[in-house]
Amino acid sequence: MSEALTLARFAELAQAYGGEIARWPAEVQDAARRMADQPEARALLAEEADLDARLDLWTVAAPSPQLRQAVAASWQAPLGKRVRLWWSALGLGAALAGAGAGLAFASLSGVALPSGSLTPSSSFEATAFGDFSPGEG
Amino acid sequence: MTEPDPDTALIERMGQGDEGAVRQFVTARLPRVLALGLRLLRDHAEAEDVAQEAFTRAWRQAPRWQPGQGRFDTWLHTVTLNLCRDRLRRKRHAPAPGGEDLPDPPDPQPRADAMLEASARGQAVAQAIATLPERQREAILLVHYQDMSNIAAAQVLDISVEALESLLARGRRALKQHFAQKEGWRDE
Repeated sequence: MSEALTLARFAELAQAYGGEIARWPAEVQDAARRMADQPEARALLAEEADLDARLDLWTVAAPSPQLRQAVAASWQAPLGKRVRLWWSALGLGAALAGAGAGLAFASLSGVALPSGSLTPSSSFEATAFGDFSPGEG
Repeated sequence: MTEPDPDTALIERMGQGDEGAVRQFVTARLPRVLALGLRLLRDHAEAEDVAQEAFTRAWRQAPRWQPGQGRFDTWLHTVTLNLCRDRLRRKRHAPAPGGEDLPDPPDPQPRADAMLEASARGQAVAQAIATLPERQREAILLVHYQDMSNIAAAQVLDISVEALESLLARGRRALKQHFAQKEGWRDE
């Protein structure tokens, strides 16, 4: 529920948001437009519109085509990261396959291995790809 | 208090990797982000760096964005403002070469002769806004130049709407006094 707009509040709004009622809070715009017919209100708007026009003199450059292109192209960066992760996963898989083949070769050739020396949860993962231990992901 | 986000569908498409949505978003939002950076930093290269960084963060944020969190544009303005504040803080703390005061930043855009007068008047406005306290300056940039609603600007500044109104009114009053004293512009 909105309160009735007083001239004092109209002045506060004009002094904060400027002389263009379309920039004011949405909920007061209708009442403000009705009040803008009053001479005091019109004078307040005109004073603030002068400042608005002055402020509008400060324009800035639009983005260059190069910047637009660079910014749009930067969207690819997260995909690049995903590709790198995919390659890392591929590397991990290859290494595990290699380790498995080594174990198979060792058992076939009768080489004795110390118990637990190539378990996937121990130093193998930590050395090659950082620590993948559960609970830290 | 949040406003409905007109960009919801666009952000969702971006989060799904839709390149067309990305280009549409850049076209719509880059001018606003760059303009805020240019007016806060008054340095073209730095403003472009900030814009690039803000969009890099937007790409990361889009897939995680939940409708109802507020406007993505408000989030993007918050990021941009914070990046600019960081740079301004670093500049303030950087020692001046030879212990002397730094000169005024150069005009970010070289202008053609025909535009010199307009540019000079614009620069006078820029100088006047630069004299305002930081929060008043930010409030005026967000509401007048970025055309943000009172709710969105208050969210970016992390203050109440009432506090925003106070900043705006004080800032505008100071600017009127500045122009009246410097140039007698109201008597022209």
